[in-house]
Amino acid sequence: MRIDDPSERALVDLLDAGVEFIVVGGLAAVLQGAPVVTFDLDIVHRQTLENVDRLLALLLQQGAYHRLDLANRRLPPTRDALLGRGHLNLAMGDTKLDVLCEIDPHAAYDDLIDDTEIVPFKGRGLRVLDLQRLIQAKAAAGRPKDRMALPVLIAALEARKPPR
Amino acid sequence: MGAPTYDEQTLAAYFQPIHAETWDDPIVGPVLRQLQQEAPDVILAVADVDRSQIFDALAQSPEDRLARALRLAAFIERTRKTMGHADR
Repeated sequence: MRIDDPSERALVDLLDAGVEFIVVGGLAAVLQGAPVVTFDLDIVHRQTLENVDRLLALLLQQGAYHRLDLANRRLPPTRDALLGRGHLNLAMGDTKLDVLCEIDPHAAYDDLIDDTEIVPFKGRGLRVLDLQRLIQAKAAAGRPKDRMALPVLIAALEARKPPR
Repeated sequence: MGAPTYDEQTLAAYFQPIHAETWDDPIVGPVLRQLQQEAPDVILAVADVDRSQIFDALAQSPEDRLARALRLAAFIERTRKTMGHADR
């Protein structure tokens, strides 16, 4: 199996390391048929100690570091941060990997799991936030860039539904 | 840029306002009603989405959709670098 793209490689590595996570953000939209452009990979991870340790081990092995640091100290992610509530905006090789503890208040992995679907990916199953919940999250974020994406996401949601 | 110039039947197949049943969706319906109050342009813009691109994407596997999107993003990044724009 040939994997050229670093984001695809990152997804395969996460799956093969047994990390439990949900793809959210633009790539979740893409996987469900929305023709949007996105430059980063956003995931929400399950915050059990075991899963956080699996994720942290992979991130450290791959040399991931906080990319939002004006001093460019290449600070690695920490266990405490992965068990917290914030966003870790990381660089991992050529991948911009955003590891989100929650997508909005009270919307962490366990809160989102019922609003996900599994899509086939490189012979594996990739858990993705469904379009309804993604639309809800982007609208709640209220940022212009999120609102700009909404018309395409809404149209994609409708195109996926069988006509009545 | 101008609007597409096709006959009405063709345009209606690819450019559609929000469907009536979407307003009844238990998750998306309340979002739409709130947007209608706070950001009505978002609601109106749904009718301007070229759904042929979505139909094309849905005809592909999720894996192929992802690969295509990543290739496009990589192309844009290369172009930005070539044009001298710094990474964000």
